[in-house]
Amino acid sequence: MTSFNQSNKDLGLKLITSRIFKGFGYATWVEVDYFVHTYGKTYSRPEVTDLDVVGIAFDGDLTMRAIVAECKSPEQGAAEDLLKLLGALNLLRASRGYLVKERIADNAREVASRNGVSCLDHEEALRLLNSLEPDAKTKLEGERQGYEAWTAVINNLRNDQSLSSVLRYLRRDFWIYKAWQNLHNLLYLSQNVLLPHLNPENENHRALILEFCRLFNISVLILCNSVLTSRLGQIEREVEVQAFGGPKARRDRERLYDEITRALPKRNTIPNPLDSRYLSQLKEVVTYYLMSPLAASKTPMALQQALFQNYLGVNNMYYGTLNTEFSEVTIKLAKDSSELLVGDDSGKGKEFLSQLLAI
Amino acid sequence: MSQELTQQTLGVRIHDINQGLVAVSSGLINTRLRRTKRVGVAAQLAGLVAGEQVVGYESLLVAAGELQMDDTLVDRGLEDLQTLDWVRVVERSSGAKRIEVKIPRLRDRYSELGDYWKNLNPQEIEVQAINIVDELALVPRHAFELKDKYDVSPNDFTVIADIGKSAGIIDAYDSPTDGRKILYSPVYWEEHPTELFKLEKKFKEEEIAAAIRQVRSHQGLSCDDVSDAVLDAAIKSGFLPTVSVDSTGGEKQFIFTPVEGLGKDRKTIYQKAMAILACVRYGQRYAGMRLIYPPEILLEALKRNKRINPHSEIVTQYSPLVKLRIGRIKKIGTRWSFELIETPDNLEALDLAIKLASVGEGRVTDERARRAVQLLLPSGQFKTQVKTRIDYRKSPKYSIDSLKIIHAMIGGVSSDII
Repeated sequence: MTSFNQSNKDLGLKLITSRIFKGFGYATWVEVDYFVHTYGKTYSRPEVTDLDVVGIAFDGDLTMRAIVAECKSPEQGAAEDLLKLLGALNLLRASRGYLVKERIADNAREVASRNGVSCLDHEEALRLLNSLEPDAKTKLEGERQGYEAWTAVINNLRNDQSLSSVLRYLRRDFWIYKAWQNLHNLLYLSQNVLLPHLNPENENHRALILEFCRLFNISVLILCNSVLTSRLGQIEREVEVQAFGGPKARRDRERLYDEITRALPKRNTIPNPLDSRYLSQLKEVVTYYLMSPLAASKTPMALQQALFQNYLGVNNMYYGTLNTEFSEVTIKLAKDSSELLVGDDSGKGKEFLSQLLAI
Repeated sequence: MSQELTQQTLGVRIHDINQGLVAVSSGLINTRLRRTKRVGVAAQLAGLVAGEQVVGYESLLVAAGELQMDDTLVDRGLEDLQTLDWVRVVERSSGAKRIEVKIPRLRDRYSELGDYWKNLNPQEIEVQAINIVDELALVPRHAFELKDKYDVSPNDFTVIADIGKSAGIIDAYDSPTDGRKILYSPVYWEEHPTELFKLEKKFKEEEIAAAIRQVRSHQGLSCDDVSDAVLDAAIKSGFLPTVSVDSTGGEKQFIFTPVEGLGKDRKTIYQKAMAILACVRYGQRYAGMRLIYPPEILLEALKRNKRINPHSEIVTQYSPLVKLRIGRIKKIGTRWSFELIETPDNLEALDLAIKLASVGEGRVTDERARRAVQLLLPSGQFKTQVKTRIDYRKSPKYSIDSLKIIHAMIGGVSSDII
């Protein structure tokens, strides 16, 4: 598993690639661990691979596009790196892959191009970056500062045992669960772990909340795409169905709930988890997202900028502020999904979001 | 004592009467109906901005001004909407403000407004006033009956009547049958229903109110489903509007409640809405090809697709709509489809028909409210309805230059530049 504590020889290439992906219009994550569920003698989740840079963006109809990069400084082993990348593309259902190395042999390039993978050596990556960014050097330095700032947050938090499940979810679980599962898991972690244990006065805690908002936003957008492509005229019903995995999965849960309530003594009936308060709020957020899908598609980038610029204080990562880079509607929608994640009756959630809400 | 009003009805009534309360500056309203006025303002503002994502504060002030709400009222209303978590007010360092809208689009916002009003602990007189207005929404009533039913003291009843009269939400006339005072609400009743007097000779007011309530809960009720003597008499007297549809199941009549707060120039809209819903109800009840969806679903599909898919009974079932120039029949192969004629009036009538089918109540906006909402929508598209019934004794007249300034401000130009 990639550790934030180890020296990272490939970091330079990762940061260049992350910056390139941002230039393409993707929200990016550096160093994502990919695990799978297995059940041999016991249930476990062993690591499969680590993904050096992941980029996610959404089209105007909220179709998700993912791109993945493998960044390795040694010239040798291009073929192995390429195979690993192809596997990662398949796991994430990414549309495009990038192999970024100090130098890349011609035979590796040939194989890569036949498999939808672009190859960039160090010089080519810098050339591409310069073509995308008017001030590539400063922005690359900003990428480094952003990476270090976020690494510092994680390192400060990892000793807090109460947050271990949260950090694990952030780094690996999110990437293997389906979007609808992430919706429920993130909401659960938010209400049961984050809000009870975190302190709005703590900068690291605030940054962690924003990162969760970023992931939650991705899940909401994927849900919106499901609704848009299946039945846009029946948003309420489609959210009820798609938020639980589709018609069959929803029906299975209804049956399970019916059986449980039949088995429980009457005084112990549980409230219907398929009709929770957050579900009605989720429907409203999805409705507003689908009112302006083009603006909604930019929310991952907006939340990324909010995290690094407003919460981590990295100012040279972006050319302007959120107000100059994004429309009012995009900013508003970013706030909508974030408030849904951390909203609570005490108002503590809004304290975490105060910097975002003030934009 | 009467049955307690639902949260939704509370919210609706508070919204309905608010325009009258806002238009009149009165010490009595400010002291005795303070909470009702406050929630009513929030309801009206919500109606103005519903359907938007982000609205400029200055644009909102201009639009609210059309509904006679000054900046103090708007600010107070925005505070309440923030408490409800329906808006965010974001102020930039330059001082410019914008309103980020989170008005519920799927949840019943009138229920939430009603709940909010209850949590403000309204005075008893406010509760009584709302109950009386709700009664008068159904049918004009004898004053003494309402006083007894809601156990209102003579002083409080005088206050309610006085406030109602000055705000244009309650008025009175002497009954031609017994000479006693009858209260009615100009918000809901444009004219004295003379046929009502004939009904009152035969039936009690409570019975008439119950009959109207029955129709309101299912607008477009078929006459074949009427077994109530009061309703039967109301239909025969012409007191309740009916629409006839003749198709494969034979000619049938469908009943509606009288129109609410409708000026003579807007009656056509309501007639069209009734006709639309009656045709759909016919399909629901009698057609050879039975409608399996709730009518509001079919009407939403008509609104979306601008047509009803071909079936064999379209020609007869929707002929009233052709006569009213709401749509046209088009032959497709061996069958017929109905196509909507997309005029603003027809679209408004369709929206109203959807509301009648789903909520039971409909509102036809008057021109001033329509203008207020359109001020926020430069494209000219009318999106939402705001209920108003305003007595414009002194309507402001705008010069061309003033109108240009208003439009520029709403378009986002800072007021200190203009």
